[in-house]
Amino acid sequence: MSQDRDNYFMEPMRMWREWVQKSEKQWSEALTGMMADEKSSKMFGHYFQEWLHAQNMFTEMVGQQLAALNLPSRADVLGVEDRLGGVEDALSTLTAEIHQLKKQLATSSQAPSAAPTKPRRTRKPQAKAESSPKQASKPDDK
Amino acid sequence: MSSQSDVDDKINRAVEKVLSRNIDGLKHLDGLALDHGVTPKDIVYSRGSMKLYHYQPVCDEIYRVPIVLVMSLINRYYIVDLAPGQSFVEYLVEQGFDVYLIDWGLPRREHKGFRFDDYVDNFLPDCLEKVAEDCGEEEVSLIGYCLGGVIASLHTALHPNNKVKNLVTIATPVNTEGMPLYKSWADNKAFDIDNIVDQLGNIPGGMIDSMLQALRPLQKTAGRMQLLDNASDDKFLEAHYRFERWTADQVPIAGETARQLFYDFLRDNKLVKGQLEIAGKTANLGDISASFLHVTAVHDHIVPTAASKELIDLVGCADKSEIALKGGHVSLIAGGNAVFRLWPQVANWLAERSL
Repeated sequence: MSQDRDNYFMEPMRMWREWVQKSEKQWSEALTGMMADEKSSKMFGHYFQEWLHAQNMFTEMVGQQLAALNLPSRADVLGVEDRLGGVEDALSTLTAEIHQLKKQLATSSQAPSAAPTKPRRTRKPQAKAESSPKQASKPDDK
Repeated sequence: MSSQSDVDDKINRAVEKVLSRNIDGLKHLDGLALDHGVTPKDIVYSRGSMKLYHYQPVCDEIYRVPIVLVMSLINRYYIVDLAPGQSFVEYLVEQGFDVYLIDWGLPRREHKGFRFDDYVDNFLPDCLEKVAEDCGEEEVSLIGYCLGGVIASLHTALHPNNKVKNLVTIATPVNTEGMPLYKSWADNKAFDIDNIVDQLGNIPGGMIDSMLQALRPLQKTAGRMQLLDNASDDKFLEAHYRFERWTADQVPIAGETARQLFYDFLRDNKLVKGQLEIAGKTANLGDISASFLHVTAVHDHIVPTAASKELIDLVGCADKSEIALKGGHVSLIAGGNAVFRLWPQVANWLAERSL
């Protein structure tokens, strides 16, 4: 108890932190309630549309400047990202096909001992005698 | 004199505490480089950005019916495989299940035309065919998380000759009346989804993150404050960094999928009304005949109980159960207590039905 008092004495922000943590749910619910209100939600929507419009204008403007400087724009970088994604996907397809080929090869192999042994699909549930594990002490309600 | 030494002690303790926190903090600066998704697996099938993984069995004897995990469209798949010891798939594999997972990947600009129909009626059935080819078993158990639960349920309902023996849905939304903020945004036409999709193509992950943050605007701040109080707890810090990294690793959603979900699912609430059309067929969840387990999280603010509780009533099968567990949307499946709460319950329920 006195240790706790010491902590509070040395760390006044802790009280505030604990208060925020404890009241976070109520504050969040209040804010979410406000956002769900018709007027607020329309305002957010309006703001978002404006932001989208502004972003488009800015992208066009900066794009022209970057092109003049012979530099790639965000769209160019995203284009490269798309192409890299395509290459990654193609590699995954090849990996999957190699995996299948290896499997077929192992199955049709002349030496059955060389093939990896497959687990038997005969498992049955264990008797329910096992005690359930202890509950962890940390709260987690993310 | 003694009060002077008290003050000195307090100052010493405070300095030590600050130093120890900083040293621990430095140790975790490279936290973002922590491995994820490390449970050994093979890519069995790949199509576009979608991948079907098969986790390598670790037991000599496994259950006959394989599990296929159907992930959400708005999160990275590795929430179910965050780290050794903090991994749902690792647990299932150790319990003797043959586990497959569908990672929808990151949709690119060329995928903006993907509709929700494609995931339910094309990609998922395609993956299930590959699973059958790979393991030689026709029947499967589907575990759907969040929107993945909607995809798995719709597939099971829409295909009368499906091979789904068991269906598990975790934190799966079905009634958008239970999601008041999003419903209000959709009803009030706050967001012009057509304009957004037409301009952006796909919905960026950052935008989805902002929408999720709007449900608990102060949660991140409160979480970081909690971090300060646990700076000397290595396990807490690691788990926190893993969650943070996963949260920051956002997935865009294909434009047409977003448009369809916004109108049909969110605004018109067609799924719960039995009016949702997928590839020209009306989905009736009452047509689900597979054994069904529905799991909800008591503190879920993303898919609150009000949004998910009706699923159990809508499903038509006789063998159905429901579990409401302590935890939030993410901690339910990947939190420190998931190994004591969710994982054994799902594994036990499936074990009896996977023979």
